Amino acid sequence: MVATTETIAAVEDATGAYKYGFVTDIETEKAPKGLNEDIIAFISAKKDEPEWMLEWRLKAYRHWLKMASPDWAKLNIPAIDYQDVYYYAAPKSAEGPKSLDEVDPELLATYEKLGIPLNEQKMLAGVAVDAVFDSVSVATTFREELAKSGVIFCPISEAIREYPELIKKYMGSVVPVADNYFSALNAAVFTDGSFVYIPKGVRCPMELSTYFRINEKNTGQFERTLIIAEDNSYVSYLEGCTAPQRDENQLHAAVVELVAMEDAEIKYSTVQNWYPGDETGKGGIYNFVTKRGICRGDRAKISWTQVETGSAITWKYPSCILKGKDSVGEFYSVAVTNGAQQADTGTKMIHLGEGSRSTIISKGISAGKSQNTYRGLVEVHKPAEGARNFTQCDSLLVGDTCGAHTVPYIVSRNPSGKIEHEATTSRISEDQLFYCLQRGMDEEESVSLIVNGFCKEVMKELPMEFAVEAQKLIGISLEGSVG
Amino acid sequence: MPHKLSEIISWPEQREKAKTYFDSYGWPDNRNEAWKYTSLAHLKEGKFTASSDSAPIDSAQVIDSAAQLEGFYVEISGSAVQLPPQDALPNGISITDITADDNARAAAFTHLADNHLLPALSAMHQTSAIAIDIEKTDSAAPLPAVILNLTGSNKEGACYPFVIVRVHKGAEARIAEIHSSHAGLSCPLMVYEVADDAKLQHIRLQAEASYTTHLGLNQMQMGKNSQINSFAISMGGALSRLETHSLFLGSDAELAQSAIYLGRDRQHHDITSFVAHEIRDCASRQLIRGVLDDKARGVFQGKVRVAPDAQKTDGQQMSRALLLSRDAEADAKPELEIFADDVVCSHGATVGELDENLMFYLKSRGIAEEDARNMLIDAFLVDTLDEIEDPDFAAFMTSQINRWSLARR
Repeated sequence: MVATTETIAAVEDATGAYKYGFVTDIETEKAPKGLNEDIIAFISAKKDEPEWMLEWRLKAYRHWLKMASPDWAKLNIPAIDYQDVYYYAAPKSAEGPKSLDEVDPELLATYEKLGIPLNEQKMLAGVAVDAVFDSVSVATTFREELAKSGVIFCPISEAIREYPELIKKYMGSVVPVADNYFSALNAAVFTDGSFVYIPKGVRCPMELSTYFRINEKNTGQFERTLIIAEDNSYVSYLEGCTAPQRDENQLHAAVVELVAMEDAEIKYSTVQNWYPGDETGKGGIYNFVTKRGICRGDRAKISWTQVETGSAITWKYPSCILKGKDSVGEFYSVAVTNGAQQADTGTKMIHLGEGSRSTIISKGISAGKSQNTYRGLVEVHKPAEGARNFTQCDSLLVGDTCGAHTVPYIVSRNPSGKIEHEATTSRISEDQLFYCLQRGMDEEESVSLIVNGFCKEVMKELPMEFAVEAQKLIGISLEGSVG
Repeated sequence: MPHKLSEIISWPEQREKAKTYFDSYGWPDNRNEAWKYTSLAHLKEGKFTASSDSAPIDSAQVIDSAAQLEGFYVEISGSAVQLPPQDALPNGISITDITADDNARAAAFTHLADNHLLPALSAMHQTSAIAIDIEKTDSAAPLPAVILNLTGSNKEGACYPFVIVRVHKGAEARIAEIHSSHAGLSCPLMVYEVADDAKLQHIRLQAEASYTTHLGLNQMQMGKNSQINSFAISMGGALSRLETHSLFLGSDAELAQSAIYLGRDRQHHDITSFVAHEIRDCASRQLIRGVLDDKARGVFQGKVRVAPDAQKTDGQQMSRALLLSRDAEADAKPELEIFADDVVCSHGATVGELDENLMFYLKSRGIAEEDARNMLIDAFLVDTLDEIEDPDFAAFMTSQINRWSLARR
């Protein structure tokens, strides 16, 4: 793809000039810098956690000490000093607001700048927001309405106190404490996140949404999300992320666990727009995230949709363990990188159940001096009779100083499993262009039509609420292709 | 996989470097990303050093395995080498034993990957070294084939033969490699330097003993406007890994490189290829097929790299594995690493069993189940055989596949 000036400008507009680089000036309460068992005990005490939770955290921390940071990704990660990070920061005035009126007006203004004014949210049909400001859930809306249908949607710290049985049963069941370096770190120091429980047979009456935001300087954000969908239930969960502009790199190591029981469906959508650093690679968020879902019951379905435009470094592989018979896993991803961004992202589909199916559609767009890698694993195990996988990875390069890479891993241990992978990196096909021209369209129109298709498969999976960001991305792909 | 394009270093230095590297790297296991699916942990206790046996070449066996191929035979068995007499060779072909020529050996290593297990093993242990030069001739008739017959050695030993083939400017070479070693460990290293406007027709058959660990490296270096048509079959050995490193050093070169692995019992076949498009306007096309029966395991790792300046690259790769048994396993890791924007690159990979619909179609036409199966397996392999340009080579490779199929039935 030969870049035109408009293209580059369009990409810069969407990913370069960072619009959310403001800092909210409110007092925060921080734990001292550094990481040790005392800090973990401090976090646990701050959160009013029961003794077993602290034990769980300490166990994770002791594991983490013995682990090493993963180095297999196509990423150049500068050494991180884990002792130079604040592991706890909470807005001081935000201790348990009962309603939106009690929330610090400065905070609300911040969200307004982000485009999610909570007051307006109430009027927007069907969206409940659990906003995470640094480490404490500031306000949770629509809870009462959700409670009517039996849905629990609350900060995870609250869930640990209120629903210990559910937490004990499910937390760490999908992403074990010592699963990987960053998940172990998260388990030790996580400060907040969301908890969702959908009871049997309930179709969640609205889309659930969380906006994460890192505010305080030098803080890591370690949120932990747990979603449980009981038999025959449905939930759609939206997650958006932004962070203010900082010179130092900031660490974000989240863990998301999804559990889908028989006939349940979880749809998890993300727009990730953390600060990507400047063109020289200074600053930006390190986004090291472990997201994994398990289809425990037969015919369960988990669908991940992500639009990744931010972060200096992304290390993220939302995965599905397809344990139930005829369970379904889906992964739709658009990843845009620009400037000095690095992204190593993809998915894992682990087929264990008979007749399980998975679909992976990944679109990578790289510009500037960025490196964009798709890395995905498809594993068909012995019991997964008749498993099916289809993977498609397409890359678009804008300019000749960036890189687009595809690294799929395929492991098949059952002959009846069918795995198909295809990846392309190319300009617009001459055949397609010819076909359109021959139907009387002009070239501009034809190109626009064809490239619109490049991301459409992913975009159409996004809920309406993310339409603005999604449209912006389609715009970039379009501009990038004409030329 | 960094390839050096640096000056020649002396052979003792090369050897020293290799030793230092191996001392720190050791035999890789599956914790090593490059050896994720093929662990060499079993070699850790192995007593394999360079074989010292100079067993006389078993010509009967040679004739059996390669009877259909016409050309000049180079016999390599451990450290024993038997070359056709120079005066018997036609104009344009010369074959030299360079085992004792350190300068020639050092020069041949110029473009081999630094810090890589297979060149390091060869530098440390080389049991023999041969140089083959093919020059352009005035005659219109193509030059006869040179057949490298790599045999011999014993179960306790290891062999590390090295061959460099230099196809000079404008020349056309036909080279066949037949690996039928009986060594415990067989580590052949072949370097093909194909100069500007030159052309290479190449086949490689690996049919070694059922206990052998085969670690082969074929390095292809391509000059401007050169062409390579290469085809490999891996069917022998207990554990076999063929690495091909293909380097484009001049523009407008074309590489057609296909491979088939055929596994049964507990065989482990690994084909790992690396194509480096360092220069613009080059094309590579790779077809890989694997058939796995019993408890066999097949691995394909294929990386295509397009350097920032390699615009207008056309890189195509397709790998397919067919599982015939419940206990077989296929792993694939195709990889695209692209730094240039105006390119057409794609890769595809599939794993599965025989198509039920096709089976049904054949059976409904009155064809017995077993026959239908065999027909479909043959059909699965046949489109890759079409890739072989040279008719003699194509016939030879087809007969090898038939031999395997018949033995399976």
